Amino acid sequence: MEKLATYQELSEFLKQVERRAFKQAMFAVHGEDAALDIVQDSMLKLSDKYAGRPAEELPLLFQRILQNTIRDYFRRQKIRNFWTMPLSSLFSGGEDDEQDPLETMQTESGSSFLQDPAKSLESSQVVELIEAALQKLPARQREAFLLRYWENMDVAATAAAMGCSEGSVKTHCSRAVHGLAAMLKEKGVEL
Amino acid sequence: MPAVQRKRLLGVANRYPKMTPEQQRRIRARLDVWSRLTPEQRTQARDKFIKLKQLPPEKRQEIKRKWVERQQAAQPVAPPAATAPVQGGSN
Amino acid sequence: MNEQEFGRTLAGHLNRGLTQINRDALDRLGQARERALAAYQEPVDVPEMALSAGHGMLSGRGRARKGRYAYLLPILLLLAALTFAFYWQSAPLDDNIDDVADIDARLLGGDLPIQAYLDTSMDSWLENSADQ
Repeated sequence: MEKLATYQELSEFLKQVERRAFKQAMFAVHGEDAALDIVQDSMLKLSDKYAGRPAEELPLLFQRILQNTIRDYFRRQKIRNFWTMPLSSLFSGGEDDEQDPLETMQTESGSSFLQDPAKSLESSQVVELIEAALQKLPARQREAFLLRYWENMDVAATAAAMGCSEGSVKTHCSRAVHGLAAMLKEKGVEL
Repeated sequence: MPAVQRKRLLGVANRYPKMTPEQQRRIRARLDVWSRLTPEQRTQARDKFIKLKQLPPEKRQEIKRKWVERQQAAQPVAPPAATAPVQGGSN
Repeated sequence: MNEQEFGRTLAGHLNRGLTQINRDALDRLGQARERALAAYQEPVDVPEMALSAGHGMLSGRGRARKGRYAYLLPILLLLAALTFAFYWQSAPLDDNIDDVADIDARLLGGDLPIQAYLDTSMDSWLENSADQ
């Protein structure tokens, strides 16, 4: 029988995930206040609704909540925009992944970047450039990439958190990697 | 803008991605005018839209044709190049 | 370097970025966590909460009942929110002509301009057609 998450476990979990969650939200919404609100909402939802679940389920549950909260934020934003923007501008493109300038960009696979960390640029600059590149990535690609490689979730868990198929996760991840590599290379970042 | 109108516009926005490019173009072009109408005018337009939809297809087409004809009669025919429109109209 | 290695390398850099979050944001994150943890305690009808509110045991019974209803409140709010969300999300493009938004979408996307529906001659045409 699985052990249910205790207060202590929940507390530990939130403590270790909160900074990454904040950054994830920042990459998506580009504003500290909004990002903090998103993290707060996600934490509350987890604690309020799912605290009675086994501790090992917390990461997946939390990521699912976090991604949904970020999406909700954009949905609400869209409603709010009805009153502040020219109406016609709301009715332009469709969902997030549509125009991805990176998808048409070619990267030479097996090229020589991604070598010695911080070889040429200051490492804090590298971090900034990586973060900026992540912000530019289409939402789903960013989600998939961060869940897989930052949250260390496997493909199945990432798919569950994102509410999509494992195949899409792989596609999103691979595009994300190519997109990021291209953007970073352009900025002269050698990883 | 009242909440009801907001909801309806949101409803339109939700449907928008599923519409054809031509329909989307029309919506973009008309939304501004639509949002400036009074609630009464919008209700009026909806009523007529429904009435028109309920007609048999051939009658619907007939009315559409009448409308187009009347529009064309009301306006001078636009010169192909938009330079120096003929003053005073034709006919 | 393959995708996995790239991902891990980038994750390493991102982890360094975590140390650059400003003090204020970190404080607010901590507060957010505290609030979330407080919500965790709620269903477990905790007597300390009443005590910590500074009213001691004076109105123990009433407080307990109030606490129980207070527990229901978020659920009700959640239900209301879900109903609202469902209402919005469950409105796909279908042929439900009763739905005003649906009419609006079709009217606005239709081949006749809005002016056609505001034109008074449209009334007479419609009437004539309906009479026939």
